[in-house]
Amino acid sequence: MIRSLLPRLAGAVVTLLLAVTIAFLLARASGDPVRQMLGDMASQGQIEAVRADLGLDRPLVVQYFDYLGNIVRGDLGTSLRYHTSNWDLIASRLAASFQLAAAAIIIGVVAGVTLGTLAAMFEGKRVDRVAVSLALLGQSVPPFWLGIMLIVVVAVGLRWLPAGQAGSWSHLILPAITLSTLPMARIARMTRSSITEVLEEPYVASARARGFGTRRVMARHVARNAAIPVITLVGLQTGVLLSGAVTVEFVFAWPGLGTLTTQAVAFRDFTLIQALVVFGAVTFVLVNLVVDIVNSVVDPRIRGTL
Amino acid sequence: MSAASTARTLPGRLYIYILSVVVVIAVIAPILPLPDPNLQDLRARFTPPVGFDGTWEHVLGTDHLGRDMLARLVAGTRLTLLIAATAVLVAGVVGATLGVLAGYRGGWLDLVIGRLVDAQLALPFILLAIAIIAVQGRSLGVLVGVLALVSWAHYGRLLRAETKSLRERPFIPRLRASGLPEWRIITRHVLPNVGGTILVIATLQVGTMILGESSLSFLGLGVVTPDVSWGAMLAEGRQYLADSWWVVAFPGLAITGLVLTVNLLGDAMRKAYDPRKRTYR
Repeated sequence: MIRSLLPRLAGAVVTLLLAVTIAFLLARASGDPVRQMLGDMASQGQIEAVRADLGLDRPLVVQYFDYLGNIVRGDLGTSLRYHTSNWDLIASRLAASFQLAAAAIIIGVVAGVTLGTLAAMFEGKRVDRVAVSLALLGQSVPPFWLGIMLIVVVAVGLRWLPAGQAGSWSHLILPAITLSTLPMARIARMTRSSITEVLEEPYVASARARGFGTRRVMARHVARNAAIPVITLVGLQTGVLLSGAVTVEFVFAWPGLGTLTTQAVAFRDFTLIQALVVFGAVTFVLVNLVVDIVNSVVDPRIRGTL
Repeated sequence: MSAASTARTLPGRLYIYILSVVVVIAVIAPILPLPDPNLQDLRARFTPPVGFDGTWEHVLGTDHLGRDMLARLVAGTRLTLLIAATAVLVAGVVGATLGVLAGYRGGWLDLVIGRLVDAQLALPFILLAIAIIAVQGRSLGVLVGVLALVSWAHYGRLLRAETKSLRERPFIPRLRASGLPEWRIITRHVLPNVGGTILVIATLQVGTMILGESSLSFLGLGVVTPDVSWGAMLAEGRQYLADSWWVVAFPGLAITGLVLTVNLLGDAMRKAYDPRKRTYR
C-alpha cells in the first residue's frame, strides 16, 4: 500500500511545484505590483524604494528560487499590511473557514446523495425530474446572491437567524446553506449518474433475481460500487470550499480565509494574496491525495493502479 | 448525432430560442427605447418596480442614483455576454488545441501538457484571479484573460482523454499509412470527432464564465462604473438592500436565469452527443 502510494505522492509534488510556479509567473512576472500598491501618485523614487524593500529589483530567477525555498521551508512571507507572518494570519482564520466548509460539505453530501439516489431509483419519473432540476438550479445560482437573498428574507425580513459574522451555531446556518448549494448540486448529479450506471450492471440484476430486496441490493451492491466517483467529487469540492468561499464569506462577514482574502485585496497586500494562493493549492493537492487513499480503502481494485 | 439534430430536439431548441433572444437584446440594446443606463435622477431614487407601488416609467424600479433598472439590466447583458463569449472562445481554442495535441502526439508533449492541466486545476479560481488582478489592475482585457486562464484546463483535460481513445481506433493508423499528413489527420478526422465534446464543454463553460465574471465584479475586481455588468450591479446594490430589494433581486435573477438556460442547453447537448448515462454529469 505504502509502496503503491509513492508514485502518486511524487505526482502530487510535481503538480504542486508547477502550480506554485504558475502562481509566481502570473502574479509577479506579469506586472508590477508596486505600481498597483502605491497608486498613480507615487514618485519614481518611492516606487524604487518599495521595490528594493520587497526584493523585487532582483533578477526574476533569483526571486523565483527564493520564493520556492521559502515555500519548502514553510515560510509564506510577511504581510505588507499587518507586518506579521502570513502563515500566522492564515492560521488565525483557518478554524472559522474549516467550520464553515465542514458544515457546508456535510449539508451538501447529505442533501446531494439523497437527491441523487432518489433520482436514480426513480429514473425518468417525476421525482427524478424534480431532483435534476434542483441540482441544475443549484449550479446556476451565484452563491453570493443566494446569500444576500437569504439575508434579506430570513434574517432581515423574518428575523429568524442572524445575518452575519461568527458567533453561536445559529450564525453558521445561513452561510453554510449558501455555500452548500454548489457541492450539493454537483454531488447530486454525480450520485445519480453513478448509481444509474451501477444499476445496469449484470450483478445487480442477478442479485435481484436471487430475491434480495431493494434495500439490500442498494446497500450491499449498489452503494459500494457507486461510491468511488462520489467520494472523489466530495474531496474535490472540499478543497474548493476551503479556499473558494471568498464571496460567501464576504457577504456574511464570516471571519475566515475568504474575508482575509478580500481584505488583502482592499489593502493591496500582495504578499498575503500570494501566500493565500499557495496555501489554497497545497490544500487542494493534499485533499486529493487523501481522497485517493480513501478510495483505495473503499475499493481494493484501485490499490494496484495508484 | 450532429449539432443540427440537437437543435431539432424540442428542449434543446427552446433554450436556443431563449438564448437567441438574449443575444439579440444585447446587440440592439443601444437602439432600444430605454433611458441611458447611467442617467441619474436623484428625485426618483429607489422607485419600486411596477406592482410594488411603482410606475410604468420605471418598470423594474430605480437604484440609489435613480438610474433605470431595466435599462441597466439590458446594458449589462451586453458586457456580461461579451466577456463570457470572449473568454470561452479564447479558452476553448487554447485548451482544445493543447488537449488534442497532447492526446494525439503522446510522449513528452502529453506528459508536459497533462501536468500543466493538473497544476492549473489545483489553483483555486477566485484566489488566482485575485492574485493576477491585484498585480495587473482592473481592465476588461485582464478580466477576460483571467477567466480564460482558469477555464482552458477543462477543455485540455477532457480532449486529451478523448483524443487518446480516438487514436486507438483503427481508422487513424490507416489514414497515417495511406500517407496523409499529420495536420490533415488532426484537422479533418480528429477534430470533427471531438467537436461535439468541445461544443458541450464550451456551452457549459459559458455558464461558469458568467458566474466567474459576476463573482469578480461583485468583489470589485471586474467591471467598474460607468461600465455595467450584472455582477457589478449586485456589488453596487448590496449596500442598499435593506431599503430596496429590487436593486439586488433583478440582476441576480438575470444571472441565474441565463446560466440556468445555458446549463440546460449544455445538458441537452450532452445527452445528444453521449448516448451513455454519463450524460447527466
